[in-house]
Amino acid sequence: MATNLLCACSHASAKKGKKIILTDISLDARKGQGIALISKDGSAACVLRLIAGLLTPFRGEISYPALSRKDRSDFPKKLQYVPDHIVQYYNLTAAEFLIGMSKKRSAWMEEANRLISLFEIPASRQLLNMTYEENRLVSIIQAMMADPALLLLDRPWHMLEPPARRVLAKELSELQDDGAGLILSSESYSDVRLPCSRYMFLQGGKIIADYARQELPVPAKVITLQGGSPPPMHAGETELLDQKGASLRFLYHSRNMQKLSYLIYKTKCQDFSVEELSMEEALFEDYDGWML
Amino acid sequence: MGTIFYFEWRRKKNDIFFHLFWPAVVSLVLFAACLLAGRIPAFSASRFRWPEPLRAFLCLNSWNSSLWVNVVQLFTLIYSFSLPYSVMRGVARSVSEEDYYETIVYLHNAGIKPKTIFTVKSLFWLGAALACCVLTATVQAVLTILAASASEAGAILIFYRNLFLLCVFYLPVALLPAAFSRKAGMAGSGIGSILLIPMLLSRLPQGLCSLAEALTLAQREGAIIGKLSQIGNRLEILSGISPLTWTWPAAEIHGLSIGCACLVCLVLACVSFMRYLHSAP
Repeated sequence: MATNLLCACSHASAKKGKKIILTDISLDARKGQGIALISKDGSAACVLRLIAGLLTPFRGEISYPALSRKDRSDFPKKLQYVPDHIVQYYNLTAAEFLIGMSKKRSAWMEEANRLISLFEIPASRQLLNMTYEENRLVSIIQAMMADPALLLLDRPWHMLEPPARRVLAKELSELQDDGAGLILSSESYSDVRLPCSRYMFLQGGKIIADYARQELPVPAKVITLQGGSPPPMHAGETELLDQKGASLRFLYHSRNMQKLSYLIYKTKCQDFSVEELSMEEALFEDYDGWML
Repeated sequence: MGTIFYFEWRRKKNDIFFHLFWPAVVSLVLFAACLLAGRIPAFSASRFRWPEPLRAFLCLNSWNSSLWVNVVQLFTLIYSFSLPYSVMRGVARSVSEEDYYETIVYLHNAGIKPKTIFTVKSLFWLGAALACCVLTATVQAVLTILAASASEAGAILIFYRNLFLLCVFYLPVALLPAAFSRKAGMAGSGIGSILLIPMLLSRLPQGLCSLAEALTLAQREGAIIGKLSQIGNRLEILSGISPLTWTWPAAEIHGLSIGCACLVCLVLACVSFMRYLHSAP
């Protein structure tokens, strides 16, 4: 099992200057698995930088068992990190950037050329004259051409248009199928967009929740009624959120939509809406945004 | 190593070509101007002399019978500031920009270590300085052989050898602040100050003496003239503090100064290197 383990991060804490930015981070990245790190405050990006070796832990440790045993000569090239900003090299075309990064290895260049044509990148254009999307894709291509064992992506979908997102999702899935590990950061669960084996929620530099995919709950529906009589509340199925005048809002935890339709019909309301809690709201029972 | 060198060359080749060719082009233009001036009797070199206070202040050799040799002397004064300034600004910006633009992430992805980044970038700019010195020295030496004599050309070659050594000295001076403030680098004005302030201080004693001499030549009298010379002589110790002036045509350099400069250069290079590695990710 140890050789399957690409990166083992054990109770690692890191500082930026004198400020502690990560506390007690533990995670295992394995071959072929995906991990989503979700945070709104940039903690997820810091974890990626920690794993990439751009931050040094002052407490705890990080090891790369599969990488350092088998691919010592290629390490850390086997570990590729894609930041969420553009490549800011001036006076350099995308093609020149990729040639420089590949060190003229033919296999890497072939892969880069394939990805360039797949994403329809104007390779002869200066990096700083590209659109944000094109430049970000060059940054991603740079990491993917190296045939990484562990790919770290900071907000990979940020500023990408739907066609590019679709192509990228397909390429990342194929990379995972070939045995690469994937860790990606995101600001919200809905923005992960790729099935992952673990979902870690971070806040203030700490992991506040860690779920395997099958452990994640199905977010409840939020029902808003205008007028009519309030429906009966049953524990575990319906939960009153707020009531103001003729408006009433409640949570519906069940998946039975037929029953929900009947419930709404029985209230004889003039109008209603059905929305869904976000995964974060469901997990942390944060309903403040839904108050009337 | 190859990646850093490739990126530096690709991104800065226009800049390097400019620094490489402008002195050669300016030299050719000045040489042509001197040839034309030589044909006009009113501009004959034998009719002119350096004003003595100016010659002493600017550390120039005595007036040469070839106008071109005199023009080259003035050119070297400017170039001995311009080349170290360009090299210092280039290397300071180059070393700090990877952090500033956060492109160091990609070099990290390529498995390039910070010590390689620091070393290759320093060597790249040192190589650029060498290329500039070699090209300009060759062009000016050839033109001097055509216009004057081989011995004058030899003096020019010695100047460019000294100028390259000056660039070697000033490189760690620029690297130190770049290594300490990795994200900010060093502004051109900061580098200009590092070069100019010691140079002005070093010329202060001679400046006062030259002023006194100029006043005497202008037949002015008074205690202040003697006082100026006296202060100038007392401040004589300052005249060696700027390595920039060591390359000037008639400069006299003490072995002790060169030894101290080598030591300072070594210490600054080591401190910059250690600091850069210490703050590296």
